[in-house]
Amino acid sequence: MLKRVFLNVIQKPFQTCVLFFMVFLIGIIGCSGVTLYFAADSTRQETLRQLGAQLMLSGHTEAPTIEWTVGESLGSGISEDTVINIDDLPSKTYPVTEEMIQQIEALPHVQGCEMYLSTVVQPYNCQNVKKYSGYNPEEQNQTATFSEEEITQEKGALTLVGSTRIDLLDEFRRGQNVLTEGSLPSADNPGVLISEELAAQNGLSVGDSIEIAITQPRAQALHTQSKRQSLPVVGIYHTSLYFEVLETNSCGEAIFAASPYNAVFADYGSAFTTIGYTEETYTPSSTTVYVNSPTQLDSVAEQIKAIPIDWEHYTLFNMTQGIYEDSGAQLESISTTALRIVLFSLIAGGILLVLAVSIWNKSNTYETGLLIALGESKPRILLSQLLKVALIVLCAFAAACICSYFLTTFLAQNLEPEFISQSAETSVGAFEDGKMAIAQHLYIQPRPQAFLWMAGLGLLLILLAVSIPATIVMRLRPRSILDKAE
Amino acid sequence: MLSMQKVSFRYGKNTDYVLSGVDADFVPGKFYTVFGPSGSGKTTCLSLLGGLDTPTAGEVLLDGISLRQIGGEELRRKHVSYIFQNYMLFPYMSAVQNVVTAIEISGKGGREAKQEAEKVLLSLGIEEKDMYRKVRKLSGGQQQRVAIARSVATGSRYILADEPTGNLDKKNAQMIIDIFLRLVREQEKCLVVVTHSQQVRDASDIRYELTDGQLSLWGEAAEYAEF
Repeated sequence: MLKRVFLNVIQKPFQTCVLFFMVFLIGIIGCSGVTLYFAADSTRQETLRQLGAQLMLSGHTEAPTIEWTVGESLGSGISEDTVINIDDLPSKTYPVTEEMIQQIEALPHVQGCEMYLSTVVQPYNCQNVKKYSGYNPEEQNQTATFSEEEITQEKGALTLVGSTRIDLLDEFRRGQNVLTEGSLPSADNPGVLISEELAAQNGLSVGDSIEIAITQPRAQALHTQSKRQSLPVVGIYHTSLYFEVLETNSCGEAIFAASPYNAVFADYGSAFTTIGYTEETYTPSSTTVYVNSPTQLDSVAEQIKAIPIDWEHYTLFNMTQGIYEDSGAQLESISTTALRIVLFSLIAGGILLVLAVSIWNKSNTYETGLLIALGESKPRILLSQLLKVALIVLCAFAAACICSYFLTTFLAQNLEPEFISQSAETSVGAFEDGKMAIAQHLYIQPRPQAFLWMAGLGLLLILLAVSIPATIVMRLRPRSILDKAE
Repeated sequence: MLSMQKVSFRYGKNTDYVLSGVDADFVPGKFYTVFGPSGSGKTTCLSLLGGLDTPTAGEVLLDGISLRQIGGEELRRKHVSYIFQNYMLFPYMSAVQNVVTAIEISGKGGREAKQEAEKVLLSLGIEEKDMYRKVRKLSGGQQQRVAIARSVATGSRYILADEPTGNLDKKNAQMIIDIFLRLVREQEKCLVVVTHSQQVRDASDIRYELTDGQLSLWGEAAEYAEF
């Protein structure tokens, strides 16, 4: 039977070519649409993952108020001693409390609340990594308004990042930084997490300690005392970020502190102590709320607003909305267009396919009659007709799948530049004087599952298109079929 | 033996009977012709014998078993084969492929089928050079011989032919008749031919005339039957 089917297909070149071309055309539109849709959708998902979805709960800080006694004058009679420096007056800060965090973290779609501290620190028993691409910072002019002391101190600096949830930080959430050894620092596991490059350069491993202190100028700016801290290395991470120094770098060599290789992640408490804060001098007044999807931001925000907090003194910011709208708009448009193409090709293609196969199949009346006269069973006749169509359709569909890959790659290349320029504007983690690239492009990858799904649907349509007319023909009396065939 | 017992047939409930209470026997080793005016039901008679139609009343029996019991497909696959006026071949196949297809449908596939097809075609005068040409490129006479080869190669005892020489010239028709005679005489086939052709009729052993829905013996056989 297979031989007969094959002969039938190759010996009817016109009908075979027409059916092949139709299926090929429908297939290429459908497969391209599906590929483009999934490419846009996966890129959208990746972008959303990279952007994250964050709200920020922030307590207000009220400026100090000076109460004047009625009758006092600010006239020339006021002596030097009576001049009050406003910075020395205590400002009123509304803190984010542990209770608030617990209530927020209990809400659905909330991944966690994170509190963050960051500063430049000077290492004492290690040296920072001077790995870069682009312009050599050592040869660049330092034009930023640093004092000589600042420049000297920050030339070999590291950036200390203290967080209550290191796993939620952008670099870790996006997978750009991956823990390779040890564990993440936390309140229960105090210490620091350093890059592989920093560890290798200084011969550090998990269990060793690094000695750091906040630089003097920064201590002064934060009204703290610079005090050396010896913090245990509890983990080492691999970073896929690279450090590119731009021509516009105005910090000179001090820019190395901003390098991803020189980021030292610590638990919040260790960073708090290193900076020199105390509970009396520093009140954490904000927390970042990580939500599992940007689409859930509004609902989570509403739920947070429903928590009994004194909202006169607290504000909830949406940190993602703008970025999401900018970056997601084009992707949404691509995926919507692709989805429309898929739906159109499925509906129009399905109708055309059924018609084409029906007409193609009707031309087989002669053969059906002949086979009946030769004693072939009806199920086998139906099967042979199905095989004939399936042979053509599968070949055409396979060709369409391959061609659609090239077509969508071409389409994606033409869509990408605009998309990348948008994502670059919104990319998180760009430095003023150096930049860390976030790789983003429309990643075209054939989806076998989607193609199989389409092929399955196509075969179902073909099954119907072959079976219905074939069944009608075979329900006729054999003699009538032969009469028609003659 | 293929028998018609009180067979009546009509195409619809409100139509006239095409055949009415027909009795006839067809035995292997005999060459039968059925003739009659156009529209008299000759082809219908053949369809009933081949199980392509089912009698409205009466029975068609093969060796005493009703065709209803045997089933049309089984009957055509193993016992009865058809030859048509317009050959009814697979036009996109070669002569060999046409014959092999029929052999395969009858349940005898494999390499032997091809050898058998070549042997039968050769015996019917299809030369080797023509065996692998597409049948549509063969002459009418050759195509009809391929159709005969197809019916012979399946091993059917009963061959039903509907105007097999209708499209052929006298010379080719005679060639077909000679083949039919050989099949009957040498292979003990039972050949039932519906025809208008005097040439075929004259060559046959037993002639039936179909008029007014009745099948009756004609000529010497009738005289003998009456006697």
